Amino acid sequence: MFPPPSKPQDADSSIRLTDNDAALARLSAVQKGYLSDPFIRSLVPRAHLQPSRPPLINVGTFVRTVAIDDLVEQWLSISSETGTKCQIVSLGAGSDTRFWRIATGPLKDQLAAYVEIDFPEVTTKKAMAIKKSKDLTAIFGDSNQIKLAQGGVCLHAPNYHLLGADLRKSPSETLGSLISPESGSLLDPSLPTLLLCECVLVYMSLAESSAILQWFGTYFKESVLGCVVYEMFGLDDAFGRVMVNNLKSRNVTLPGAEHSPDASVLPKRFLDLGFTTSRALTLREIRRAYVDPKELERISGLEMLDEVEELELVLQHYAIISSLTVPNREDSRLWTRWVLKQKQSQSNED
Amino acid sequence: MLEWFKSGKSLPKRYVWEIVLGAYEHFSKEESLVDVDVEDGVTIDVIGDVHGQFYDLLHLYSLTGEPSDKHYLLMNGDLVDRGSWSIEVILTAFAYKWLYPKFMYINRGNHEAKDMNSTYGFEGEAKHKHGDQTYKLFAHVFTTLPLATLVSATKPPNVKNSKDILSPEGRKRFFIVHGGLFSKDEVTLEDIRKIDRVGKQPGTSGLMCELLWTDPQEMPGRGPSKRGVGIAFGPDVTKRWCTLNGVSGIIRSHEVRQDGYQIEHDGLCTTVFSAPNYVDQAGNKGAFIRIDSTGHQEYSQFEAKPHPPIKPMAYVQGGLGNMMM
Repeated sequence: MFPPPSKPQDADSSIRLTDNDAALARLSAVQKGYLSDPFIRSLVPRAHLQPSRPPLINVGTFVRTVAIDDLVEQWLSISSETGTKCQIVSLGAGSDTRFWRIATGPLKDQLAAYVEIDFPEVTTKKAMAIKKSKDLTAIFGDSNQIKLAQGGVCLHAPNYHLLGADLRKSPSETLGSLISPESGSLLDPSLPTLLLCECVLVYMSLAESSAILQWFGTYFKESVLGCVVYEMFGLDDAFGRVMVNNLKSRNVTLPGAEHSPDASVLPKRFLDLGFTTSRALTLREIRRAYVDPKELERISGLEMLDEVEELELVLQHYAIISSLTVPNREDSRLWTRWVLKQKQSQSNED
Repeated sequence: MLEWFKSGKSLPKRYVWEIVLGAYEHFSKEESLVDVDVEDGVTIDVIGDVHGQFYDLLHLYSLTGEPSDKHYLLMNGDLVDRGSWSIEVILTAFAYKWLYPKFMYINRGNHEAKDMNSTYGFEGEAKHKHGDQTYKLFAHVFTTLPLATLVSATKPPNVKNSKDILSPEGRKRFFIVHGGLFSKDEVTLEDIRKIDRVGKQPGTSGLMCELLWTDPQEMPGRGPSKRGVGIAFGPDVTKRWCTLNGVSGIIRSHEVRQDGYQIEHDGLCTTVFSAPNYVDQAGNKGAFIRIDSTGHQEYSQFEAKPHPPIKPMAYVQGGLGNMMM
């Protein structure tokens, strides 16, 4: 007889699977030479068997990565100039390898703490992968330093914390007890802190994501708070309809996606939430003018893109929004330098 | 056969081979530049990129009609890749070539090539539907596709216009190629005719590559290609080339146009694109150009038709359809 129909995936597990997209995209970009990342293989099961992604996706992954990496590096180096360490909180981090890349990089001593938060199912898997991987545990020196908590859902190391939580729940319940448990706060509210939200806020309602940002705003009201959001937007056109339908067929919706096709409206939300400055750039603009031209030349030789229109169309629907709050004027002079900088003048393409 | 395809069925491999080999017989006898004379009472329809959009192709064929002695068809490359019915598109076109070799013409596009097919879906689709050997057969037969076609009117133009560039015999004729013109001025029709193409891939430079990859630009002169392969050529380049070779204009494809076609370079360069709502996203119309025995051109547009729920690039390994970054 016929096999029973497969259960439709519940929406949450479908959201969790989008981390697979990101991880496989990253792995593909690394394998094809766009990016270097010795750690991603440890977080992707059967990495050697995964097919690579189309060139268009590899280029997009490259642009997104170098732009966010740039902002993170600047954060670390500005905090070094101000003479303090800093913290990074990555929401919906999934299989991100950024902590390890920083911890093996030149600015590692600037990092006081790196906190990753994601669904417990995701963090449990990541915690297991970390413990099993020599490459990933090597960072921590002594493996006794790594402690699992809450039945394997959380992992703690001296300056790295992996926490499992449903970010849509009220922050005072979840974030409060995770970040400031009775045993002592994981994050110092006086240190400059960068929130990374890569394709995470868009999966929850505006109210839910605002609640998170407000919670962090309050927690860090005495210090410099930065926020980098990377996500898709402007999905009301033909391109967007195709993406939305594709995601719907995977049981994923985007309740938090901005409707306007114009990236310049994206900062408004963050300004309304209390950030003092906010700036948005599409990946298209970033590729055109904010990426080192030598790097663009290098990657254009890696694979042949048969046409550019499709790439530009895709890149036009993803944006990086960087927002900043600086509580006192002394620090602001240095911190206002934290922004993606043009590396070449915009070309006259349409 | 078309009904068979429409209902989503695959031909038995034996028939696929017969069709492809039947078409191959004719392509291998054609020169790299094919001459087609449009006799009195005959028209020829020039069709642009189709990119595996079989259901749109069926609609297009219903508008143009099947190839016949009064009614030729010329498909200007990029029949495959991206859309997920590339096999159906190419087999239909090849079947017409086999049946009506003097009424059906196909130019090679940059997507009738190995590195494009491996990335943009045709290799995956061909291997999935008909096996590795069949893909290899297609790959070889693609190299026998002519690189360009010269469509010549046999009667003088109806309206004399002093700007018109005519053939030595005083007739309009059109150079039809998938990409465009060249990085240097002195290329002649003979140079193209003599290109040794069988078994060869377009590569990233040279005459064959340029025929299949270049794009027109608005600024005069030549510029770098936005694709990273070939060049972009300006209106003055087109004018000089047409004058040198006695060609009334070039018709090319290779780029999406919202209205399905666009007349550029003061009328000397026209782009025609026949994949409406390209990859289910672009919202463009498709078009085809009908040329008669006096060299008069008529433009027709058409909209996309629905297709079964298989997304574009469905056969790309690690497919694009549901992917995000």
